[in-house]
Amino acid sequence: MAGEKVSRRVFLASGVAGVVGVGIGFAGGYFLRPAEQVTRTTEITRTVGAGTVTQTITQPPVTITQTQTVTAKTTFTYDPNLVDAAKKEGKLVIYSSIPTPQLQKFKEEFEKKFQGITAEIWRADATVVLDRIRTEYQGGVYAFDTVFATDTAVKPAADLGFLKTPSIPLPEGFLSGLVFYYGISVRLLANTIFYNKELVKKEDIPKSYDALTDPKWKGKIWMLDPRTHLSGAIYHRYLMVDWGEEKYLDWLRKLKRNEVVWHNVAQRIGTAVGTGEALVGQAYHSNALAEVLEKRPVDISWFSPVYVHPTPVAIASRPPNPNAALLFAHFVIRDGPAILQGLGELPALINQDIPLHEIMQGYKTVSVKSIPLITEEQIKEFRQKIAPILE
Amino acid sequence: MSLDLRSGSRFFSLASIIVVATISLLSVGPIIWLITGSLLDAPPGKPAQLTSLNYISIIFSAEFSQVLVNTLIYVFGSTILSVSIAMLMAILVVLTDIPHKRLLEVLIILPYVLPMSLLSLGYIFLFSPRIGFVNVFLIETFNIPAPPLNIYSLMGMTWLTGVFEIPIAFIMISSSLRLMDFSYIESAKTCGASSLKLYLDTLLPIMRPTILAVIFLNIVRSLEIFDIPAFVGIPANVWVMPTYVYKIATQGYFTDIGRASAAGVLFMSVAILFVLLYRYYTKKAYRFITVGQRGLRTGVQKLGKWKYLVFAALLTFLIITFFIPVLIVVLVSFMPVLRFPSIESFSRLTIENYVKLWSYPAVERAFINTLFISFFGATVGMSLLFTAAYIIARWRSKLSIFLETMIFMPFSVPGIVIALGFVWYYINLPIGLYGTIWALILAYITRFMPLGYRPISSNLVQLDPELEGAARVCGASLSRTLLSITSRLVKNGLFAGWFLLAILFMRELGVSILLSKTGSEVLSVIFYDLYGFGFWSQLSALGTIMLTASILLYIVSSRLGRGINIVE
Repeated sequence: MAGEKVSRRVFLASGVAGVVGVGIGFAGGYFLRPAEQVTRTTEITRTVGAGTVTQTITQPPVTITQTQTVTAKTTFTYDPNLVDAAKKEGKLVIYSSIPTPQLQKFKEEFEKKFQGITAEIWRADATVVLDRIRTEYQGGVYAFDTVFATDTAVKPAADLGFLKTPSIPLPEGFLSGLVFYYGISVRLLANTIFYNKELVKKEDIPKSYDALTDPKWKGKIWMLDPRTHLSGAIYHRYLMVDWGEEKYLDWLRKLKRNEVVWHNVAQRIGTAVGTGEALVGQAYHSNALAEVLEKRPVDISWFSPVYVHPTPVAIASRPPNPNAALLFAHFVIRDGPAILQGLGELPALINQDIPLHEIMQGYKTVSVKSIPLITEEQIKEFRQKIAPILE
Repeated sequence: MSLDLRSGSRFFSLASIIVVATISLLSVGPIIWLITGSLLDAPPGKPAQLTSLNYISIIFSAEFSQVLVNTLIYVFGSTILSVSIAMLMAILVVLTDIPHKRLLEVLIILPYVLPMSLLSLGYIFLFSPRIGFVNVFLIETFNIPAPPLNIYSLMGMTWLTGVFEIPIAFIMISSSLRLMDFSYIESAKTCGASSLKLYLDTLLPIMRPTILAVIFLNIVRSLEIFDIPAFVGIPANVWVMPTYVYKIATQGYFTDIGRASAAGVLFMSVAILFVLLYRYYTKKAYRFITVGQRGLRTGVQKLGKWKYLVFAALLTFLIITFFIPVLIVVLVSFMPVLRFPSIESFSRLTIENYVKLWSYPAVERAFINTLFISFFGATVGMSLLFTAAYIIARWRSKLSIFLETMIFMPFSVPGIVIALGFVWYYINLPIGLYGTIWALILAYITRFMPLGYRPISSNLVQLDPELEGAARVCGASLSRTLLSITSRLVKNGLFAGWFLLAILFMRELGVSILLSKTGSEVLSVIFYDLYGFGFWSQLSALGTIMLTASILLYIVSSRLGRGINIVE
């Protein structure tokens, strides 16, 4: 049957069909690509704080803050014109990297407060959020209105001109260090050390970074890998800057000797501690919280300072529903902290009327340092520096 | 006799043109995106210059040689493991009188529907150095100072991937074995061949195209699987190509399209090499024709007094490799807290995880969407691939090489890369596909074409075209011949392909996460969410539901198809 005779016409027609298929695919994909996007400047002047404070925000804002507490509920009336305009649009599309249950809560509360507006949510890791934004905008698709994600997604998108910070009055006491040219952060992602409550004795709980180098932890610690995890690298480099290079690299060498298991999935580290595969873990507070919500015996050891990544809200530079986008940004800034705190999370403003989650209590006692983003070149340079130590 | 496709072949011509154009259209966009991306120093859509640095930075990186060695051990180790065990199982189930064949077959196939992350979790509970039940048992019983087994190792991930690939290899090999003409074996026996000689000299040469196809597919699949190397390789600092590509692609703020694409092109080159090798070995297709005009003869090898012992051995293997890990997952889904099940935990079983799962955002819609995509997508996919496989099997020209290459190309590209390619392509394709459920279906079909194509193509290669010629001589049109004769004779391959596609469509993640949006959510994205947030109990509940749904799907389709199933 090999070499079956086929009509030359059919053969040619199929060949042409193949070429046409290739041609259409090539043309569709290659020649219809959009015009180049304009990169925006990185320095802007804007008004914050109920129109009372004017500040120039430059990048990077290396900020050292203290935990901010508010004692009374802020009374705030949403601009009725904005609410009406948003309701006329009737829809809002949010891209986010925050955990789905939290995002869903924001959706529900927003839809309850502003009935008639449907919030559509899409959630993925920060890198995927950023990739999707870039691919859509470069393809001329303007599908989303607002982004609520970690700064590693928001800032690069803003630098490409795809996002902008919402220009809105801020609540009293809002930390100016959490207002960036690319967005306003109401949620903090804290780098924490957590442990298995059933397997680590109270007197053994590590109380400092140095405690992790104690040989008793040999092979029992899992940590975020700065060689492969983006935020992990930014965090570790900031430790190096904060502590001094010599001290940091010495600490890293000791961790290596202690046979730390390096991993690039934060929640996997949480689960390793929760199930007892590891006794101590370093990842985010939210990973420890997820374990506790799943009834696994995990607690956080808070020590000062705690290093946090901001999670800003920003609006699309070409939102299909601009009023709904702005209204959502208002909502996140005003109502967001209380929603987050109610879910056990760490908001930028702590409301004393809402109890902090049991494992977050220690947060009130520590100072907070916000980790600034760095360039990809700086990340690469840092990784080259630590690679020989960790290999 | 040679079948002349020219007579009355307007239908065939039209179908061929549509199929070649459709498959080209599906494959070419992401592939062009991939190749251009690998040769440019900026992502598609940005001003860029040609560069070879993406390739150089991968090939000449300090760790590449170690990654390559790890990958070779991992890929070939898992492939040898899966194909040899699947071959043995298929022979036992199809060609011998082993008891309870149907049960065995279901037991072999069903673990494939479980997500790899869940199966990995089951294995971690058994073989983790600290908490693994087997290790704890061995240490306590034999007073061993250190854990003897470690799932977090190159060997652990090779074993796990090999085990996970057994069902797919089994489906393909067994569907081909069912089309065998047993007169070959009878003749060999008559000539005095021993059992071993019988299989080595008779069965293996006949099965060569299928075995090569399965080996090829498993090699490419191993290169593509991400979950297992990520789950058990990364904690041991063992990197293989899938995790290495992920590592180099996601080190910065954006996915590094250039280097990820370059790695994708290297993968693709390996895949094309295997396609060419496969075609070389199967070009004299008539050597493997086993279903001819003499009719299909069936028969079984008697195992005699050994049959119950062999059954027990096979069942024990399945229980140890699949069912204890799967059972752990099922039990975890009914436990309030994730931990290794104990006698005590049986008293605390609860359905709380299922209730929580059902209240998870969009889970209901994701169920409906996933079922629709699996059923409809797999049906459309198999219709397209049946026609494509027929064209390729009967033409065997340069065009068929082109078509087959097009089918395989997207499959060999790492998920993270091809997913971005699909987004880019569907955005730019001026037919409004982006953001719709149809984009997901087309992307799934494109990505998994080889898995639907291989079972049907293996069957077609074994089918003597003279059967179709006879029908044509009797006046049947080509379309009627295809529907009444060919499709019925290759029904096992069709069903196997459909089943595989449906299961894979249910589980696909890389593409789903980027192409889905509100309204087009799918279960795999919910899986990803639950895994990402550490909700293992709910994840196990979802895995158990999918397992149950797949068992029901299998039973219902077997009954409705009146024998059109993998078992028959």
